[in-house]
Amino acid sequence: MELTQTNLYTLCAILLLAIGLLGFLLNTDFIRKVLGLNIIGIAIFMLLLAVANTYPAAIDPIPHAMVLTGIIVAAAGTALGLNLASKIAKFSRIVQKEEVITSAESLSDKAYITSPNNTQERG
Amino acid sequence: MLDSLITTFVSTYSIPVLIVLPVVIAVICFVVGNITLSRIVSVVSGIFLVITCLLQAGYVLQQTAAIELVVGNWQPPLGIRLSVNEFSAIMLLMTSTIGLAITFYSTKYFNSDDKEVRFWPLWWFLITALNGIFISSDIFNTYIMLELLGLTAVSLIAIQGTQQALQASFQYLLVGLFGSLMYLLGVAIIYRTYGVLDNQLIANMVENNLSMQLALVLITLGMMMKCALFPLHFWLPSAHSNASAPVSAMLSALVVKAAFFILFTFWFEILTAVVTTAAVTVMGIFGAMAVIYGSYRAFTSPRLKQLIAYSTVAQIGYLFLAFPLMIATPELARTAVIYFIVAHGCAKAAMFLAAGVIQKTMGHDQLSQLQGIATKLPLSIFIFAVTSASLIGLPPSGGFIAKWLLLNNAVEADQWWWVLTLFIGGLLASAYLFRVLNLAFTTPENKDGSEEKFHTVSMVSESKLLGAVGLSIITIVIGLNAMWLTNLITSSY
Amino acid sequence: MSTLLKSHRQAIEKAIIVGLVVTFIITLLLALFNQPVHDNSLQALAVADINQTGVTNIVTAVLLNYRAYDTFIEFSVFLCVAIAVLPYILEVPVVKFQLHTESQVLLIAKAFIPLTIVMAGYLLWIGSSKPGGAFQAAALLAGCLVLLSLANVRVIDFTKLGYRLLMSSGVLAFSVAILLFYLESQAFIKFPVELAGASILAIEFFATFAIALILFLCFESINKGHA
Repeated sequence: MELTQTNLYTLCAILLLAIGLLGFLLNTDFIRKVLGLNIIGIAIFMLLLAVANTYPAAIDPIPHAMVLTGIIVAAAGTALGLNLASKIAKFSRIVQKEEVITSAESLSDKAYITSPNNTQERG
Repeated sequence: MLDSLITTFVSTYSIPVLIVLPVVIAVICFVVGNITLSRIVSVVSGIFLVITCLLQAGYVLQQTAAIELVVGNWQPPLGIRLSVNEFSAIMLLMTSTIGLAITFYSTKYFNSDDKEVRFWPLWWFLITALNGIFISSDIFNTYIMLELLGLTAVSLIAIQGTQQALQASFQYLLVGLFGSLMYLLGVAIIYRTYGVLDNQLIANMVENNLSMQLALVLITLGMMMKCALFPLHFWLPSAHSNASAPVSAMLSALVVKAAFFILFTFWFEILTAVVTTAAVTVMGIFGAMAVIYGSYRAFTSPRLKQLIAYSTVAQIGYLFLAFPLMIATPELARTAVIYFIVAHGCAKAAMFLAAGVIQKTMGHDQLSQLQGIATKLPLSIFIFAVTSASLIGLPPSGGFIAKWLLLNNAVEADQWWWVLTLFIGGLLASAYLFRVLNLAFTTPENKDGSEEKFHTVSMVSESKLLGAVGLSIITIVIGLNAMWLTNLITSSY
Repeated sequence: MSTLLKSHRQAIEKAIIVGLVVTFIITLLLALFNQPVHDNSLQALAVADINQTGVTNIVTAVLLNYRAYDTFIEFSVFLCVAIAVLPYILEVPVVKFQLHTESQVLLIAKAFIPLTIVMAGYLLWIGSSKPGGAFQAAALLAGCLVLLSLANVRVIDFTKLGYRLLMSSGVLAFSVAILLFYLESQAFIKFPVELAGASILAIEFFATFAIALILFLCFESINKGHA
């Protein structure tokens, strides 16, 4: 295998894919999972762009169009994900506030207090 | 005269109508933001879509030829080809029919304007995406449609607004995005190898090599996540049980089927050269495990909607039992799959709609406190009973015919061991569904002997269940006319 | 044994995931580098028909003519996200257009926004012949709006009908073009050669505003969630 520009791009894309996959699968945090998905997406786009560059004299436009479409769709998905995450965070803040109030009222009644993070972690 | 008019309509106009009409309705509902107008427009165009799909399905099944449309007259590989064959025509007809029933139900379901004003545009985008997946004959276009489907489904769950619904929808979003990215990676590998995106062109060129095997694995993984096949089903119960009733009905009846449709197309139409007996057997085993595990979890569920959601996990498993049979007896297996999808779709949609009424009336859906609701909500329980018969597979329902076709098929293909799964699944299904019916018909024992028989939150009129009644009648009718229907489907290959 | 499994459960899970990913990556490397790449015949086809598309930039030709159907659905995807995040009932009362105290951000905004708008217009115009187009222009415009929002200038009340119309104008313009040409030529999403350039520019023009507005809405909806 000779090290042409296309091959280098493909190699980088695959490495990026590995990073994204590990980031998505190993983290339990909301935002990191969304970021991981974004990196996987970018890796796939890069793979497509490397394909487009196979014949540098005649660059294939179809992967370029696919990537442009894909970026917009990925941005839409990310926006929705972040919006949902911020709504969930708002809920857990409300729970936290209520907890502070209830724990101040009845310190002995600890059984009712559940950590807001418990419900969040299994995202 | 009328014949030629219908033929022109079906062959030139019907495919664009399936996409453009829902998009335009969605935009109108969004911009105007008026609920009354949205309801009227939705019901009217829902009826129009049913008529279009009916004509289209009739045409495709009679002419035994697919309708094709090349977008912008750019022939593939440059442009996109749309086609409606007998499988997709039946799926489209099912989408529009179930869609109409749920549309009618939704006009009377929501009690908050804020939810409903968001519901209608998203609902029409969901129908666009479903139609788009069924007519698309281009692997990249299918990806865009999948994303539209995933994002609308997530948003529809999220408009419920409770913490559980938001968390379920976030999990669903992650699973959905990951699934469609795996699909996109598969598409990228296919494009890298052959340089085309059209289903038919790829099918002509494809060879059995490591790249294509990997592409098939990736696409299968992505679609397994989206249609919640057993080891990857973890998101489905929470997503489907926390959404509002019309959304749950649509998700269980159609959205998971769309992912299955794509998977089925890839295995048996596009990448057929790669498919081996070992691979289909593995899918069959996953299916069998899904049937048993899903039924078991349904039996132990404490909540009604959760029970129905786990039942979806089990029923999806049956569809994958047809995979190993596709190699030996493809025509029979295909008919069985189509029949099963229709029977399950109608039954499950009606069941979720009935469960929605029960939940609204009681204010909860804890199974242990649903004793004696049969006297209170006779129509809901009637629908539940009829659709249960179809899900268990009792004659004369559509579910019985679907299972009988699968059974017949397994015997014909000399793979009788799949029949065992069918029997066990049927027994477990009757166990968990009779558990609900049994509770519904027992009179609660009043220890206090007082008046508080029912802790109903609100009186909910059952009139919105008209569409659900229609769907449960369909499940019986397709059972009674089984010979005619199977002949029609089989003859159109 | 079982206690060992329990205490190291997370570590074992992680090891399995890492192992699976590594196996997958190695398979992918083997698969991709042992497989010859396609012969690029599609590129030749795309170039051959370019004079019938009404534009001279080949990527724009693919996006808005050869595969315009994809783009149409993509606008719908974006609109659908806008509907999902749109705050119908605003928790924060919207302040009308008013300039707060002179902050640095506002100074930057004042200096850059006119330039950025000109730049966006140029990108939109040049899209038919050189790299550029609706998305790039929309990103710049959305940047302007974000800058204004950071400078505490509230310009947009998303609950108004006009803004909802503007957000869906990309899909609407596309639908209108599809319907008009469909009635004329009976072909789905087919632009006549002489009108292709103009209709593509018109669609892109509306799409720019729609996408810019939706991008800004996404920013605002997340920003508000943390405020």
